[in-house]
Amino acid sequence: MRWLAIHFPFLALESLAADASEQPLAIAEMRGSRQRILMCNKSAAGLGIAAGMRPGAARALSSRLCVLPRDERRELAALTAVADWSGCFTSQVSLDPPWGILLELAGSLRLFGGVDPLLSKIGSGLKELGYSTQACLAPTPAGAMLLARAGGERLVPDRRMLRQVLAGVSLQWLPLERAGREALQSMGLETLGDLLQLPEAGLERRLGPEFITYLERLLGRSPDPRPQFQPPELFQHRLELPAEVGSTSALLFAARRLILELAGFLGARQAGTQCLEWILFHGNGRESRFQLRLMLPEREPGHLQELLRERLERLALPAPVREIGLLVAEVEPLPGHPLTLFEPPRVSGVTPLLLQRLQVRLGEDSLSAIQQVADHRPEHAWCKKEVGVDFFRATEKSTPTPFLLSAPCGYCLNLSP
Amino acid sequence: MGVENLLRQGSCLWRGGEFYPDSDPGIATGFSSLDRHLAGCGWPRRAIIEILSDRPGGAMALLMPALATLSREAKEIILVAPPYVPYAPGFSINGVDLTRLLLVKGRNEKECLWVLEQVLDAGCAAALSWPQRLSGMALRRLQLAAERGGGCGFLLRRSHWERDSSPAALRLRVAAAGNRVDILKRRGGWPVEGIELGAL
Repeated sequence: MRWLAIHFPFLALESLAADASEQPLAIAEMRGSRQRILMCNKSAAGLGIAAGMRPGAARALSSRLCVLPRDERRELAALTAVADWSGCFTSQVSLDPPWGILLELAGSLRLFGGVDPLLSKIGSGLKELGYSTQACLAPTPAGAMLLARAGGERLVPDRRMLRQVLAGVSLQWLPLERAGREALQSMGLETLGDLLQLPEAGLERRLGPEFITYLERLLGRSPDPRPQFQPPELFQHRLELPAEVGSTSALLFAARRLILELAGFLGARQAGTQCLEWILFHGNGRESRFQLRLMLPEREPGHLQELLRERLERLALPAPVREIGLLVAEVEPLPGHPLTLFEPPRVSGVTPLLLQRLQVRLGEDSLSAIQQVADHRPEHAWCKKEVGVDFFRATEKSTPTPFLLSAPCGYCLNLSP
Repeated sequence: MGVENLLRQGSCLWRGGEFYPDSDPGIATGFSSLDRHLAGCGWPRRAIIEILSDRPGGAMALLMPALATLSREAKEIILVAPPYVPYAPGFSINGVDLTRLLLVKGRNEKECLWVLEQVLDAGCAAALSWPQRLSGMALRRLQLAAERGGGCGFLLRRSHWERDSSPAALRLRVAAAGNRVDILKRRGGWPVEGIELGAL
């Protein structure tokens, strides 16, 4: 088993579709009876705002600062969306709330060409989605998650190595209550290595049997079953914007994350979609919807984004947008591209993407083809038809296979000495 | 060294009155008398071709053999906003594969030009359009798009636009009644008048 634990240290902030360079933004959380700043974005940190401050003190530093309360439902939704997206890498995904997910990668290593290509693919995908992450690949899920939270990207190949690496981890990262952490501190322990040297019976008396089970799972001595994430049947994601948005270009930026998540969702199902329904939630409680209809099933995020840009250019927003949602109810099977030995032929001429762009820009009935109808009356001897898959199939057929001859040809062997 | 010698060996010296065919082969027009006068022996690729005629719908018949050749090679032919509905059996009789034919409707002239530029830029083999008023800059943009994409853009216009200057690589005038074609502008040579095509 090779578990990849991904920890999202800034999930409370990044679950909002915020542009990195935007206005200062901070998330506040109730701690005891008082609100404290939990985390803030870069522009807020530049103003001297730091975690642990009181919101009032932070606002005094900058009047432009926007402080939002922490919303655990939104964080869980973002985590679920990431889990859904990661379905294109492995089928075994489990959530580790509040801020982590676990992917079992042993079965996917061969397909993606080894550990390094796969990890870099997941890493760059998450970065594109707009999340900062700390990840660790280790043989046990609990161990991987602990190392991921402790920070520093690591690859731990086996259990022996895992024990060594864990020995150096500070005890502050253990999922313990405050009392437990203080008890360990008063015993003079600093790292997990110190803790593991102590006799188990004594630890069990002091910290409870659950903690011993956790330690055993951490090291892989006892099984650690994880509930598997069940991907939903249809794609239905929403994304809250940190402030109301009145321009379609800012909307396109927010829609990018939804499109990337959709690409992961469709990739996991080897499918594409022909109808994307966008829902815009306006601040005043109203909502408006528009559809992006495509001629052919599509899942390439770059293409979808380009088509959405064409559509958004024609769209007039009735009111500023507070939240954006994407609903995809129907998916069509769409196999991936086969890997070829040679360079794929450069696609030139009329590509599906070009026609889809024309259609999105000009309107749904703007593209058509004509065909003959067997009728003796000349005015009925033709009809219009929709442009469909067959238009592109004909182009595919015409590209020659690069290395096969059209017919077998004999060649003579010279066997004489 | 005489002038005759220089003319024979060098490519940097030529006679103004003579026609020098292009090395880049074009798409055969299907009319040998016309091919003889065109650089590349056919419709030039990577170019805008203006066909001026007062026939309704323009001189589509002149293009049919070339469109048939292209569709047999599985190339796409895009008709941008035709003024009349293209008649499917008519195309079919002329040997055009209807599955390779695509009609695009634009809401106004500006949108049609945008479509034409997009499809030419993407490398569509032949795009036909029926624009009327067309600025020199728009034509120039289309010509550049065709050069990038490598296809032919056919503009079928009414003959009174003949007086306007045009950056198109080839301009033809088709007589309304007969089957005579005049070349108003071509690559590698001077205008030619009165090319007989046989029945159109």
